[in-house]
Amino acid sequence: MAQSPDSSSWNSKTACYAIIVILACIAVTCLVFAATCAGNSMPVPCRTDCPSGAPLIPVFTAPAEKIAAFKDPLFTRQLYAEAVTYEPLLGTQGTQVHMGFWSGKGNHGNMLRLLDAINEGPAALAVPPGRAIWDEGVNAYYNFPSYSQMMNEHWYERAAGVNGTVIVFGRAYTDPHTVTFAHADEIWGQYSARYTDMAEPIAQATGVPVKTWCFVQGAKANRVFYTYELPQLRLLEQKGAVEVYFAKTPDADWTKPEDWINGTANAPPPSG
Amino acid sequence: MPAAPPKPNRAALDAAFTLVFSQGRSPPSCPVPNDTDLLNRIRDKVTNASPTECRDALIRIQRLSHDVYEVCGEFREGAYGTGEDAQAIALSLLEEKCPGLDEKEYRTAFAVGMMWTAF
Repeated sequence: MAQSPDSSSWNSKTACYAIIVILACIAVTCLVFAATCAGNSMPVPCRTDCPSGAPLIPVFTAPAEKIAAFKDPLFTRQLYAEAVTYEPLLGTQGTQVHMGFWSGKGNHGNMLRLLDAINEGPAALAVPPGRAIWDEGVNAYYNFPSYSQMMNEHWYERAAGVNGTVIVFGRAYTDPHTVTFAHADEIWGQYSARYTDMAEPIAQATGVPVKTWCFVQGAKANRVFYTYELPQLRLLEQKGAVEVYFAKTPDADWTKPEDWINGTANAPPPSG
Repeated sequence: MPAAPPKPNRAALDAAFTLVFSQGRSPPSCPVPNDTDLLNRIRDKVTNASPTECRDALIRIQRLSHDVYEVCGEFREGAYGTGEDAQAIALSLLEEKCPGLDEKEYRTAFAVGMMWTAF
């Protein structure tokens, strides 16, 4: 069938519009992809399939703003909401939730082993199930968005800056704010205190006191655990929201009561 | 006369540094990923480096990760003073203990070490 001149013109216009729409879609996709990889102001970590060379851009939050946000008890609710979004069992009646704490050289790895032993062992499949979290996230693999955001803020790199120039991922940036190591320590400390406080809404939701496991052998008095976390654990213990256990050895097994010291009253003294 | 130590492979060092200080599970005692896993990741990243060069790079960077923990701990205790020079002293000590890296890497390692020792 022969096409009329009008039909031919319509087909050309349609083809033209189609090309424009396709190009626009490609442009939008590229922009979204670039923004995701670059981080921009969004707390989105780079995906593993981002092309190499797309740098994560640090977020230059003001330290006073961050400290104020973390001192606010509302941040505990936010962190709890993030946790339950990632792992609904943390807010489900009956779940035995475990929270990990560590301080001092070597203890991060010891804590990680306990976390995996609970989340990947028989306790995870028990009825009711057990779940173990720590300050970084809902397990050893998935971080809280607030934790990722803090990592993107690079507090210690910024504190180590010289004359406002900071090195992040090997690149130099100008920091609009003055950041000190004291700021960085307080930001991480307040974050850790609010993480500890999260035991209370968890215990309320599950109806079960949270078991807290602390690997703190050799930890110093002026670091995060003894300064920020232990005081909160004492308060929570008084409220009946937590049971507190301190590892006697680096390889303490959470299923063996003889490997642990019970109660904050028996907390090992800090080192130095 | 003992043989001179092998010259480090720059690309392998960079790959090891990134793994331990930018993508690592910190601090140094962390069992995941283990040494074999780390070594495989370096070899995947720097395919033209020999296995010996990759292992050498990992050992150097792991040594740095242990030394930076000690240096940052001492920095926190005021062992290098409390003024603006204290950080410069810490960085130069780090360079003395673990030579062969560039300034940006020492500064990054120091910042990461300060975070590790905060806890």
